Amino acid sequence: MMNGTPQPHPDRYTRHRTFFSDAGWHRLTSTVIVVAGVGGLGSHVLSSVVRLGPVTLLLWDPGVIDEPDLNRQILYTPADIGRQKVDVAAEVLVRINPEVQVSTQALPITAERCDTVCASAQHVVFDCLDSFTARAELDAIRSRRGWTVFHGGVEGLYGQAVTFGPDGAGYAGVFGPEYASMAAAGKPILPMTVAVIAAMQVGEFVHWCNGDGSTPLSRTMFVYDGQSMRSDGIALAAQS
Amino acid sequence: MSTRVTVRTGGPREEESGAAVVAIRSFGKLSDIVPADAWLQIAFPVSVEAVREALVPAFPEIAAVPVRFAVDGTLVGDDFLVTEAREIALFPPFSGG
Repeated sequence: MMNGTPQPHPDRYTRHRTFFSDAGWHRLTSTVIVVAGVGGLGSHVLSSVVRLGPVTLLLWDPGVIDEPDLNRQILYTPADIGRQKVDVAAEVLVRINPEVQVSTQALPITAERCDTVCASAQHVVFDCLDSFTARAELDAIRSRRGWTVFHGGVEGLYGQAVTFGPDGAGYAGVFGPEYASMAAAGKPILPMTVAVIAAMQVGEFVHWCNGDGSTPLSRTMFVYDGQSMRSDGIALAAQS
Repeated sequence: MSTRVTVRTGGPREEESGAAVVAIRSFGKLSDIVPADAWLQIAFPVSVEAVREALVPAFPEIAAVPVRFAVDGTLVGDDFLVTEAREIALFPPFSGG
């Protein structure tokens, strides 16, 4: 675990503190925020979340930084090539906000590892993964552990964001169980697509902190179309 | 195969007697498969499954993608009966992150 050296910085949250109720602020600062995948989406998500408050983060990613990552993975620089993503991310995050606590797992997230690593505290998870197989595993974890998942997915000029509560059919409920066997698209990923979708994921998290568990994107899927420069909200059927 | 759903590409989008013009919108890799000038002629009511069955012969690569459909902004299942629509959107899941 990396902890910064907490220094009193009472003004660093003043521009957004009023957006949180007192209960919401407590939720923000007492929940373990899991980020599954510290690549494109994960980098953008963390860059925002770390600035929200003295949060507790748990990063999962087995990956090593390579040069193609640098087009969108904003936590990393050329000097970091070859290093574990979670290690570099932790260093950067603590520099940005010395009040945060960061734990890392340079491994794929699995249900069994979560049982060992994740304590009984409340958790939420940002789905910033890059494969359908990994998402299927995370969907199973969501159901098993009762987590809320802020999902993001991108492909070229397109992206989607939706929130899956601890109950309900989750990712498979929206896209069908056959999605898990699909090969990853291998399409280009553009930095602005990642930025848009990650912003929606973090926005959902802020709603979750302040709300009663029902967030805007738990009923509607946000879809970004960078080809025609449109965004749409696609209403979801009740997830049974 | 349903004859109530006809896939068209290009040309003037004109309603035929008893069949409405419905726009198609595709996301992600589906936008590479379904051309931007594709549209549907639909004699309502039809199931979403019937729409899927009409699209696959026209664009066979769709069959390899777990496509979900939205009718006028609402995600629906294959058994949903469409009684009217202005736009049918096709969604694949996006894998990247």
